[in-house]
Amino acid sequence: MTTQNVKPIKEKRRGWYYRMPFERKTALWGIIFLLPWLLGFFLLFLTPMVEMVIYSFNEVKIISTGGISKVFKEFENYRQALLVDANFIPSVVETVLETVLFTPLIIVFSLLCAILLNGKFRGRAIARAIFFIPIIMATGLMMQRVSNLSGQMLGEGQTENIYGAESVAKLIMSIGVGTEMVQYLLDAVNDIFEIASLSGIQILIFLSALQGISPALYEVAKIEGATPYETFWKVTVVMVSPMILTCTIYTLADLFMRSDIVNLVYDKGFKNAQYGLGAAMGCIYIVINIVIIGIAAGLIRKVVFYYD
Amino acid sequence: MTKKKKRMSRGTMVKKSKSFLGGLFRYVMIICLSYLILAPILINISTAFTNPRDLAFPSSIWIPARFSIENWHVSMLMLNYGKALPYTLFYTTIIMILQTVSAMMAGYSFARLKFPGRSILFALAVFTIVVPPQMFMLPQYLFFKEFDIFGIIRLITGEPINLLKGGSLFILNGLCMGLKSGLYIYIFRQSFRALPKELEEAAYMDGAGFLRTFTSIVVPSAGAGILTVAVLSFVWNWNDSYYIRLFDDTNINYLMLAFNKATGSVDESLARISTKIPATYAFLMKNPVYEGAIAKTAALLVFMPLVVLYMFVQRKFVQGVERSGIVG
Repeated sequence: MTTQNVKPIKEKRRGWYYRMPFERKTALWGIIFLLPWLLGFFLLFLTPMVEMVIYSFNEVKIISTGGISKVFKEFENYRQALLVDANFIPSVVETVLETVLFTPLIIVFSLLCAILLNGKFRGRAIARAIFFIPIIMATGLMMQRVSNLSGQMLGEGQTENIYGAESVAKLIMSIGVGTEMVQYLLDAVNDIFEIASLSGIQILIFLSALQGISPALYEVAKIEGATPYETFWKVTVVMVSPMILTCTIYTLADLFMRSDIVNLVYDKGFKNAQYGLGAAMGCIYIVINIVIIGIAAGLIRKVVFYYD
Repeated sequence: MTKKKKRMSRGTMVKKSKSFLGGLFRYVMIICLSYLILAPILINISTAFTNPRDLAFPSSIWIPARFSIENWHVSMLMLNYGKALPYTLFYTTIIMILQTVSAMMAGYSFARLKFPGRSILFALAVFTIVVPPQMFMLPQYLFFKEFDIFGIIRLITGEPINLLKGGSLFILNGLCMGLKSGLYIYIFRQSFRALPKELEEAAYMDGAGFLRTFTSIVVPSAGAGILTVAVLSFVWNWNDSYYIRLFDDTNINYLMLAFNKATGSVDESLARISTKIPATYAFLMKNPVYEGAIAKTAALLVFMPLVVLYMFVQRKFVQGVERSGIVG
């Protein structure tokens, strides 16, 4: 009884909301749910980004009483970054080369790992637990510390020690292979470790994609008499190809973010108080990142196959 | 008849040996890669348990010659572990909750609630993944140092408040701009899109509002995605030292910052606590091998809570990743 009495009043009071069509309501709630992100995006992403571009054209100093002072310098900071600073261009080139070289390796490695971990075999649970350990070590400095720190302390040759690769290296050298070749091999071992520690999320994404492939496709391939080799290239790779795009973009972004340039920019700003120069370097770096990611995405998009 | 049988059995034999070889290959690869991942950790654990006097012995690389927990003791003192561990646990948990909830809301909006301009905003959200947060350090630093909402606070108190030490990280994460928040939004969007739409439609039919549908239908059925994001968020925030270094450089209660500072110059950190180190080990001071061992032990101390956490959630996390529909 009481509810019957209350209801009309309630509806009257909030009438505008109840009369709203469902689509409008959806839109309203969409914006309400997005409110934290919108606020964050405008206050903590877009504004800083615009400010950074402004800084890059100015000489910026922090005033001890609060606030900053800006003196307009036109392209002075960019000139400094590109023509005067001895470290910037070489490290950008190095970063870009390293990233472009590493990304395919990481993609192939993580796809391989995901395929290894996919499917049923004994000890699968343990293997997966181990393969995901790099995720919990990946982003932090932990991995670098674990592998490099004592290297600095003990002098050179520590990473070789970990895997017992030194004895192998000596063995190879005794056969008569040059030192450079051995060094290359040792570097490769070192790189594999680095690749493994960078591939956590990518393995996760690929594994998830492999689980999503319909078994019917494999059955059809089998009935049609495809060899495992053909099945791999024509079913597995094709079906995970959208994720290759996702992983490539993520890997590129991740590698760019770990680069020394980021620290260089940080140091220019907070250690040397050259905020304008730091901002200019940051702007250049971001533009390069976006161009490379755009090119990679454009190239891969051409070969990606979307099932639906 | 017999001929046919024979041929078949030969066929199955070939097949069997092929699958055996395939299995062997798989196991060899998995064992090699597992070794690659585990070796540095195991060697560090062994070093950490080695008696400081034996550190230089080549025989005690894998198994300590004399077992000792002295290194752990010294590293704990150096990191102020007793105080820093609960502090970091507490703060990281809050940050994780804020980041997960805000990313979840944004992800749901991007996945299901249509409004004009949504796809552009989503593209911008993906764009935030690509830009390194380090590029914004000065604007963000100043934003929190002189925190003000459209001049209102300045109007009331006369000057903006300094939020660097209190609240800056919480605001950052609560507003979806924390470490890798963009990635979490992406994961949530994919995992919500994988849910059957009928569930929500049924809820609306039965008269549930949007908030109610979200809290009692959508969130409970996206458990796998939530676990994935929560674990990633906790781990990455735990391992991060960039934001805390930027906002609150002196707060060594954050384990990662304490670790970075301590291992930056093990010399000085050991000198600071030299009175607490047993006199018998005093001769090891300034010995690089010993300092290396202490740094390794400290790394393990920072890393260990994550391993414990991982052991608890590992099974669900790995299953969850498969079901969370990251792929969509």
